[in-house]
Amino acid sequence: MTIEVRGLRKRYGSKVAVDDLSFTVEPGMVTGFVGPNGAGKSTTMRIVLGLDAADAGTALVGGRPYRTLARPLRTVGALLDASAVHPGRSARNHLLWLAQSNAIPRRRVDEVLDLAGLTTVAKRTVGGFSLGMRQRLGIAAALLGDPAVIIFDEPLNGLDIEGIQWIRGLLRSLADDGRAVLISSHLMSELEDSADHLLVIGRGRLLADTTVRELVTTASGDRVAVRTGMRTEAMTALADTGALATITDGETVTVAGLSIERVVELLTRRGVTFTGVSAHRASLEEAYMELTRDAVEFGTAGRGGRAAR
Amino acid sequence: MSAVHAIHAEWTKLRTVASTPWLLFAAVAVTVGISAMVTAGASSRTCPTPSICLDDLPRLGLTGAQYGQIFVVVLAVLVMSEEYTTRSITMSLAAVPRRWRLYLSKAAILTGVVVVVGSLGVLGALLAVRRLLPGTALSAANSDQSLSLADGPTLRAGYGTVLYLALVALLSYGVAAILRDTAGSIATMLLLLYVAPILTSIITDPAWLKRIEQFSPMLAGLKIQATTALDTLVIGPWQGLGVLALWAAGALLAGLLSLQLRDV
Amino acid sequence: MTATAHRAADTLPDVDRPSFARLMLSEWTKLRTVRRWTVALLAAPVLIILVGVLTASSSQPGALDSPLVGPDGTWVQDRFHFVHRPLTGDGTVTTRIASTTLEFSVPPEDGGDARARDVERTVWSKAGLMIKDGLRPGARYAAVMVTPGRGVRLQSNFTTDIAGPAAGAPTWLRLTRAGSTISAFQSADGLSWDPVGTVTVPGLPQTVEVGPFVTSPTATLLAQRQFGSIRLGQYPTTTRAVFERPTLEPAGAPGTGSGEPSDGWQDDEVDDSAVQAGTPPAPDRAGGKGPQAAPPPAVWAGDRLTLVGVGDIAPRTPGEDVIKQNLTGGYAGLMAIVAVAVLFVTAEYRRGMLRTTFAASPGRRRVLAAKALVVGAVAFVIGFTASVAVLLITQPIMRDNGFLPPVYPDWSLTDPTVSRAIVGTAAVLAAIAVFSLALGTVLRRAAGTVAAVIVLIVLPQLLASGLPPVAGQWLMRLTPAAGFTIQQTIPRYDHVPRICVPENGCVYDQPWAGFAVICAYALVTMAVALWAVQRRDA
Repeated sequence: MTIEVRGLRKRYGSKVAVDDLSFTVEPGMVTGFVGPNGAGKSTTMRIVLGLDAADAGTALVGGRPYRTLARPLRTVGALLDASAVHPGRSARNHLLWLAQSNAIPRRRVDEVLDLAGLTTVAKRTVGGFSLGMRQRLGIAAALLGDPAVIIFDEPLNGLDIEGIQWIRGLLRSLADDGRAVLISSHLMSELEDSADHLLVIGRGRLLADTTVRELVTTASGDRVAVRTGMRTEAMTALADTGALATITDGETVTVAGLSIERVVELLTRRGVTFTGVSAHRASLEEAYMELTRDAVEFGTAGRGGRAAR
Repeated sequence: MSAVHAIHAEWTKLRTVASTPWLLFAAVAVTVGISAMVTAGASSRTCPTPSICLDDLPRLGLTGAQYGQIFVVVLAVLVMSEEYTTRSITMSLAAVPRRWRLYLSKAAILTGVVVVVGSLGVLGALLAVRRLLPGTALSAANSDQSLSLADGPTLRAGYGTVLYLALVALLSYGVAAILRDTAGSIATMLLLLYVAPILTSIITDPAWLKRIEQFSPMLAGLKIQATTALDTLVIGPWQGLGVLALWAAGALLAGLLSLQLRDV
Repeated sequence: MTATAHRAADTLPDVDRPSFARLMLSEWTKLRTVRRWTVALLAAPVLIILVGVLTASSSQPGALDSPLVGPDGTWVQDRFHFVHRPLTGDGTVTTRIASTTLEFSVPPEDGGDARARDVERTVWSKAGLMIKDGLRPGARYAAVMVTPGRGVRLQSNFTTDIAGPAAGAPTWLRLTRAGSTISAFQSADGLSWDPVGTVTVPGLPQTVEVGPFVTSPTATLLAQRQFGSIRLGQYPTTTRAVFERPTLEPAGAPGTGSGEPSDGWQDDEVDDSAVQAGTPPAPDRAGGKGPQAAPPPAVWAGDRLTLVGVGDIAPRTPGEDVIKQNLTGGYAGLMAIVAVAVLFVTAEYRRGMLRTTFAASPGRRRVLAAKALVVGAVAFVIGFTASVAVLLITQPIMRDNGFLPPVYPDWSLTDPTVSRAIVGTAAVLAAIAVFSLALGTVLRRAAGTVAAVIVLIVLPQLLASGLPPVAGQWLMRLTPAAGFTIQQTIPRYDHVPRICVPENGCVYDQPWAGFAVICAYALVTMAVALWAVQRRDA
């Protein structure tokens, strides 16, 4: 079962939240949905779940709009806002009404409570839960119907190290079961180790639909850094081939689109001396920043800086 | 099939919030208590002709519903508005994405609960008043009226009051679905219900008095409690309840449209 | 650790604390920037004005039985039995009142003896001496009289009342005229006289009528409540007074010259029902009967004069307080204000925003005080503006509907009673707003607080009409709605008994007393809130 989004558009007043967005979330893998705050991740997820209506385009789950599903929790398990729970109800009762609404057997409530490690606090009211406990409760609710499609919005928010590791393991096993798993984050580092596939979104537009490996490769290209005292000569030698060379700091020239062997050969031929040559490999984080540089919604004053949280 | 599940889930939601039993208890207690208090306080001692003064014993015995309804209003508003204030509406709609189904399930459970609680309140009030009557000055004068449910008009006043409370609940529920806010909805409802009786206690122009009594959801709806001198009412018992039903239907429909058409 | 932190906070220089004005500015920004709240706050004056206009355009004055006015234009009644002779210039009239007897009947179903004692206690029957500008009802006068249970009084021109010695019949009374100044005296033995008081009756002509008079009004009492309506018991009374040796000095022109003590005294009934000519005889709003039959003529037995009187000499006030009525919208407007005031604080609890607020300004009590001041000021401005607007709009409507002088005197916004009603309405709304905010702080739940405040304010009004009058009155007196008594504008006279029906807004005699009640609610709740906000976790 897949999530298919085609030509999705949504605006709130004059602000465009999602702009012609298309992607597919495939079963059997974890798809990361990443972009800065306000990029349109949550809006897209809300449209997929039928909470908000799209102005144009379709969002289908297993080929059908969410709002036509008779027992949606058995198809899609979603965690959108962990704190969107009535504070006066106990964790168990919260899961109970969800189960009843979709004809899910009662014993399943205890199973997911156990799965999420909430058995001991099942009878406490949610109002007293910490953010991490609420996150676990939300995940328990999502897993209640044993769904083929999983949608988690920022599931790692507010979790401690142990919680993060638990979720990573959980995501992996859910994908390995053949489910389609979509998780969002505004931090690439959160997804680096868990996502198989990446959807990068900025200002409502899809910036990349790719694997983690590809993203890193395209972003870093074949960048080579040369440490040299003869920067001008090095620049000339490298630029003659049509490659893009830039001075990155006092003694370093970086060039993209050339292999390290070719760089050494070119420099040697022109008699440019250098103290070191290294192939520069970008991290996923850098690749992501490069992609979203212009798409940061609430950027800090210097545009090249990091994305604001 | 799914409707049953949705209703079951709504029942669980309603009963697992701490405020529900308190509100229901208060609705019954206030209905019974104020009915008893008002009956005990009325006196026929100085009334020259009892048959004129004491025209409607069943209505007097059900006065408490005018005050018990406050708790029904609060309960009905909370059922919908808390979904928005706690944002749990996202979970509810994720579980039951057909919004009209969610909306009607909630309404059904609410109506059921209010009917049960309203019946308890009405029966309690009539029983309490019957026990109290021999001790009050009213007793001598009420020989021509009975508080027995075997009496046709009294029975109608009784279940009519239950229907009245159910319709008030649905009206409040619809208003909450439109406004999506607890305090605003409660204030709006209490304004809608109680401004009319305050106005009628001041206004003297008969044409306006009639108009207000005919169109106020509370004053028109409560005509269902009248058992005697029906020809002197500005609007008949069932027509009056019909006015309230129209109010409730309008609010329910507007609430449904608001839920269907607006993003949550 | 905590202690250290605490001390550190205490020693922070004061400049780091935001000024209170700045705190209020920040709260004001919070209040006005939530669109829903702005809408609700704008709805409040609209509701106040709409309800006021509706009330005004759908009200009609009660049927008018007599438009008689006194010398200063006050609506009055003026009916009594008068045995008189003319006095030209200055002079003194003296008599002894041997006895007064109040006669009336109470139907047994009204409560017999107990009710009869109520009637005796309530009724202002009057027997004494009068100096009057002719026999026309409503004309200028001054009179000294005995009133059972209330001692000797000197009254003039309907609205003036001076209490004298606490004597009753038998007693000697004397009235002396010197120009427009009239002095009254009382004596137990006719030899040593105690002054009762002195009044000035401007415009009194050279020749006036003087002599003994008797009048005896209809007592109106609250009967038991039945079915949401209050029955008023009306008991017409007559008073029989025996006067001895009424004498006028100088005696003036003799009558027939017979030498009898009755010589020169004329017997007349001054009767304001004659003024009704042209107006249909309608029953009083309180459900009274038509005018009483004329009493029998005066009887002389030697120098003893027996005089029977019915009627009353007193100012009248209308049943409806026009100003208060047109400000009824306050009840509707307050619901919007209550909702916003409650949300103004509970929204912060619910969203956890209070943590932000308290982090931004750690002086929690100052924050709460700033909130209360802002919300109170906003409510005051709304109430003031809407009250002025509604009164200006409804004044011409009420005139068109027949609310005219003398029963409904003309008024302007600057009349002390009208200004008090306007400022009072605004102040009551402000106090209710503060009360709501404080209760919201204590309860921290919007639903419960809004319901509680509205129930406390609106329901006593309705419930009072279902309870026995005394219970209803106390319910109204002790709940916050008592504050609206400050809207009362009808003049109250201590020498005119009035019946107080709680659901008609008659809660306290003193307008400020009711206002004190709502202020007490606001202050006590605010104190609890200030204590709670400091003590509890945010």
